[in-house]
Amino acid sequence: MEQTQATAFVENCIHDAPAPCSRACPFGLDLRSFMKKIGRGRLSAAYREYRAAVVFPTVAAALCPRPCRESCQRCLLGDEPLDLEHLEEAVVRLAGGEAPDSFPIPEKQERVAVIGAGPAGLAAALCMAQKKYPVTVFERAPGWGGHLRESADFEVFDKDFAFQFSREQVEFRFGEEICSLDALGDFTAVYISTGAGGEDFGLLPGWDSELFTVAREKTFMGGALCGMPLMESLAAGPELSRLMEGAIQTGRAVGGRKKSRCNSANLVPKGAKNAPAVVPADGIGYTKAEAKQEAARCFQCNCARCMEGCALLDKYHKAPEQMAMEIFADSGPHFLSGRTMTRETYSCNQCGWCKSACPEAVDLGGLFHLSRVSRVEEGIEPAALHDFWLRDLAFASEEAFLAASKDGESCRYAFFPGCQLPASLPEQTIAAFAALSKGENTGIILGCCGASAWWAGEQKLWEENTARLRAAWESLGKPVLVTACASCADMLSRFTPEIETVSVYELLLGQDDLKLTASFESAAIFDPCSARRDDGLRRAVRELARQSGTELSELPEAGRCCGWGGHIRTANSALYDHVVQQQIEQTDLPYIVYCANCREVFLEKGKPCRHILETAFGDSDERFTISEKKANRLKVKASAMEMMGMEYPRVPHAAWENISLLVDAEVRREMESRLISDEDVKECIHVSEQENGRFTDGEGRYLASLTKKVLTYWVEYREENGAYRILDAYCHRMRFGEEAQP
Amino acid sequence: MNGEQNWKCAKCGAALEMKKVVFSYMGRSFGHEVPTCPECGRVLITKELALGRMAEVEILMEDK
Repeated sequence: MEQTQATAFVENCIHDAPAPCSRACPFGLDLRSFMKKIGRGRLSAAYREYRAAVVFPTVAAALCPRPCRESCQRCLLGDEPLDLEHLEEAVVRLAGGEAPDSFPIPEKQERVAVIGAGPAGLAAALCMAQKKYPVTVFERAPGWGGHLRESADFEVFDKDFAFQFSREQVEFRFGEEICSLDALGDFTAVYISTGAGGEDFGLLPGWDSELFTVAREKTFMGGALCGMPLMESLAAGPELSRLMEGAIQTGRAVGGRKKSRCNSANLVPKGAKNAPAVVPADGIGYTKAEAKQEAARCFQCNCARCMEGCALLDKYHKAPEQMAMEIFADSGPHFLSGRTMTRETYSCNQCGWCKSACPEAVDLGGLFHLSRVSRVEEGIEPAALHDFWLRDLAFASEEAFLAASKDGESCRYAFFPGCQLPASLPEQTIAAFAALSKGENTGIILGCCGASAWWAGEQKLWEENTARLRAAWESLGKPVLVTACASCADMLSRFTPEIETVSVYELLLGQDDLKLTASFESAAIFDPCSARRDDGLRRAVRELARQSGTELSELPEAGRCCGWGGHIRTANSALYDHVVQQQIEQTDLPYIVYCANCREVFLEKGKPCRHILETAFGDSDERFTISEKKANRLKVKASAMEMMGMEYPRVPHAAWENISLLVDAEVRREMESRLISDEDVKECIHVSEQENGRFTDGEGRYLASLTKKVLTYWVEYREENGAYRILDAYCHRMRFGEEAQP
Repeated sequence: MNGEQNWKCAKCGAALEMKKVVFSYMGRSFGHEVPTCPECGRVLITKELALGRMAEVEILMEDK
């Protein structure tokens, strides 16, 4: 993985970007930080921060027009914006005695001339002097201040100028007018700030508003002479000094005024309450306590929409930029890192919620997917986390796969129910196929859309699956695929847009003889996360539910992942449980779902739930084991073939297929939670008996193991009337007795 | 369930002895003593070990 691949995902992220008020501030003052300091009563620290940005605090506090107020997110709640006027005044009044900063850095030799001692010239002179350049200020008037000399408050400003310059050595040559730059003498750099309509030495037409440069070497220009407003003229001081120093040291000014990322989203925090602005009790200015109280109204606006709404991002609470860097740093065995992003990477539901919630559509799910793909490419993926699902995909692609139509003819529609619906609701799947086949040669494709490979980051497997699917579709004459699973529809629309799709629910809606029976009197629709972009699908399911007579409610947060997405359960069962619980608790009403996986997830946790196809083709109270689900898929395949007059192919049986197992409920529960199938258990018993490679307690109990590609399975059993009573079954990821890992 | 049982190797009939065995996962290896058949070398991993300490170490290694 290249670093840019990871960082490209988050380049538009506005987390930690300047708040809207700071973007509006002519000084770019970090108002979040300023308010936080005041709120904590650290007025001196707030003053220092303020002075570093505005250069002359009394001037800014008195004269800034405060465009920040209009951007204050309090306004969106109907509140008054933060009272910056009183806050700034209070900070300057209460902490303004703080001596100016003067840093012990080496004196420079290069002399700097500033022409004009108005606000712009003074700000530039002070900032250069703070960098320890010998500065000479030329001013034709008898003193400093420029047009501020006419202000009623000039006495205050005058004192501030003197105070801020008190710790720096600057030569002021008042009453001295510069008529020609050549006559200036030996100065390395020059700043021209002669005020509105002042002398520009013929250089104004070539002025660069970003770099402040003109068509003369190491010469800069700014302030009212260039049409800059007063506050911008002051604000230019720190930036100008940076550019000028660069020009002195390297011969050219580079960079220019920093452009900040746009933080224009609505940033009012969830649950924010109205709060009136604090009014100074004396009618003049805030006390320290009043300033603290007013500053506490600041929301500390910072976009964290992704972290606020996603259980994973909230749990790890890392800024997206940091995540991108960590994912890059963790992307190969060649990097040394003490702590990896493995858990985060494999805990993402890949539901796309973060992208849909982000005002800049930052795709953190895509970033986690990149991480999964990269790990597989580097051979450092924890294969155990997706092993079960990749084996399931192999089953769907081989034994359970089918692409057929009656008499092999081309068809207009082909049913593509996905892999989990036939597994969980086989009868309803067949009934849906029968309904779709009425009066029309409807084909069928039984297989997987590839989500399992996609979520595992197995790019090659995913490409193979997509190619298989495309070939099947072509073999049926490129029909419209009738999907039952929103994930399938989503995958198809994203990666094989040439395949047209329609949901089975939309087609069923048009069938007059369809009998719908309400599964619940009243229920809430639980939309799968993959249906977020499919309005037609969402509408059709609601309509079917309504026609069945169910009184429908909407959830407060629709389109959230039930927990299944991304196959995170093995990687992070605690987070999985948390996500499922969050979705269950959205309402006490039972759910109507239209994703077989949502149904599985909710039923397992005891949430009353029905698939919309149950409304159409009968409720099913059965929940199937892993092995039964596989059998169901084969059953659906056989039924579909029978409906089309085809013969079910004979599949060579595994040698252990005829072993009979006896499994009580508790052992079954444990096997299911560990994703151990009957086939794994049977194979384990068969192989160990063949080789007598097992342990015994001498009283009829045996313990056998079977190491497969990724996992090692252990089965404890005893024989019982020709069958095998399973007493325990467990597995582990670690290999033993080998020096190196496969 | 199986941790406390007195397992013997079904093939050799030998009582098991604790022996250091190399475990490996995610590119790392280490040794640990587990019950092993002294004759054929077959290794027994109890449920307690598999779902306890081994599972913990598996997660640690995935996270490292």
